[in-house]
Amino acid sequence: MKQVWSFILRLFQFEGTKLHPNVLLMCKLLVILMTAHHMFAKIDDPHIPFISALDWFNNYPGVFKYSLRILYGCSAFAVLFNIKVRTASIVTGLVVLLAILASKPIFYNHLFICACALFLAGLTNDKEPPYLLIYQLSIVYFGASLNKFLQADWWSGAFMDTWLGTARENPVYLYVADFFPEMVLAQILSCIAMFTEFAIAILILFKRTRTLTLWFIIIFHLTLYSLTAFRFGHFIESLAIVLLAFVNIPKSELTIHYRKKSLSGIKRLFNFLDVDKKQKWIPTEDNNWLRLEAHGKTLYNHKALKDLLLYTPNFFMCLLFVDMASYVILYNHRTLLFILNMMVIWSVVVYFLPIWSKKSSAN
Amino acid sequence: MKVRGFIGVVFLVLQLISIGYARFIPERFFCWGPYDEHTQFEVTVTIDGKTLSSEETENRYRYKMNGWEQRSIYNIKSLISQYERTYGKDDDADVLMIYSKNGHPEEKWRFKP
Repeated sequence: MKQVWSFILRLFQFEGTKLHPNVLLMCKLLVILMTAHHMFAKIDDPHIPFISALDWFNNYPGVFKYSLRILYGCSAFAVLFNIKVRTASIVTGLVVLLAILASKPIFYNHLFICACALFLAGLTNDKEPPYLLIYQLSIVYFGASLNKFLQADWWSGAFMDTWLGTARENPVYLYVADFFPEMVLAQILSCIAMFTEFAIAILILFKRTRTLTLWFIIIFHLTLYSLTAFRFGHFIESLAIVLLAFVNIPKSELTIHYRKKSLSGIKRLFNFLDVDKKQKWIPTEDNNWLRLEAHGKTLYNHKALKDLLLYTPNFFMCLLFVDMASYVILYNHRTLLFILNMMVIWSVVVYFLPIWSKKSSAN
Repeated sequence: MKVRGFIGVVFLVLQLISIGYARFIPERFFCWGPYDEHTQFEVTVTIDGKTLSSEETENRYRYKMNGWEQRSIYNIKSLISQYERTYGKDDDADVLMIYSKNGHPEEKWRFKP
């Protein structure tokens, strides 16, 4: 029984594999996300494939579908339970890619980005930063901006006006557009989108500008989501998960000094989330209520708490589960769901924004 | 790591080639061109003088066949054409798509074998 329990706990463990803990976290979350979005059902026999040769499998109904489903099931299981994670991640990514190649109707960028991220994650290791994922994100935004730059309807605002004004009848857009000459707001928004995406594609390549770019990505997509109440399939979630590959979780133990009187509840919560047992909590009577020692740096109070959350993979597992659970529970109450989403996500983002300049860290 | 890194770079280069190739074709697959067009469209399929219901049409292509399409409308034209040239070859279907891209005047596209 103890062995079964320790095996189940592997789902929430991220250390001791050949992947960076944050990259493994990304892989697990992508697998959970895709599976929750019916990936099993999407894997089918070839139907209008990109590669006509795949139609050959239709001579043997079910063979392609069930082989791929079994492969997906096994590799996803292996990713989730830390078994040969790099190989498992590559196989999961390839299975999803093959499923897309076998069926034009299921080609969606939100599925494609998951497949790419999983495949490339499996090609990284725990010694070097995940450069391949950085380049992947750059290519995503480069392709997106180039495609927009070359379309007249993006410069004229016709796309934006049709999308927000006609298709979605977005009240905020329609209200604000009234204050501008015809199509001008649409043109402004189009230009912001095009140049933001292009800037992201370039700036993410440089170490100096990478953190700023990640914030660009977060704010850009969150603003889009706030404006449209639309997640573009599961593209926004997928992208947020891929960004976790950029969180540099320390390899060494984290030492946390906490004020026992007021923070024992938080300590218990983190102890529960820290399945890898990497965090060492030491009570203190310090003036600071929290002190974190990581990466050779000492952080205090809110800065310490922010980094502690970032370095706790199960915090993100919880976020995803809460997001998915709230979607199921409030499925028939979309407005309430959207308002709650907005409140929670913006609060988290504003809390983490590096704009609070209080001195709370020291080298 | 070298082999893995090389495979990863090849995979990324393939995507760049795909982005470049997309400049020469109207479809937007594998080139990171998401939500770049907004097209209202409706497809009707007639076989032997009988027009399929919208449900039958969707089941035929396993894709929505009316409403808003947020990617290139040529993606849908591509899958319809491929279906009718392969699985549906013997049906001799007459496919008509009426669509309006980004608020422009309506256009008609017909697939007739």
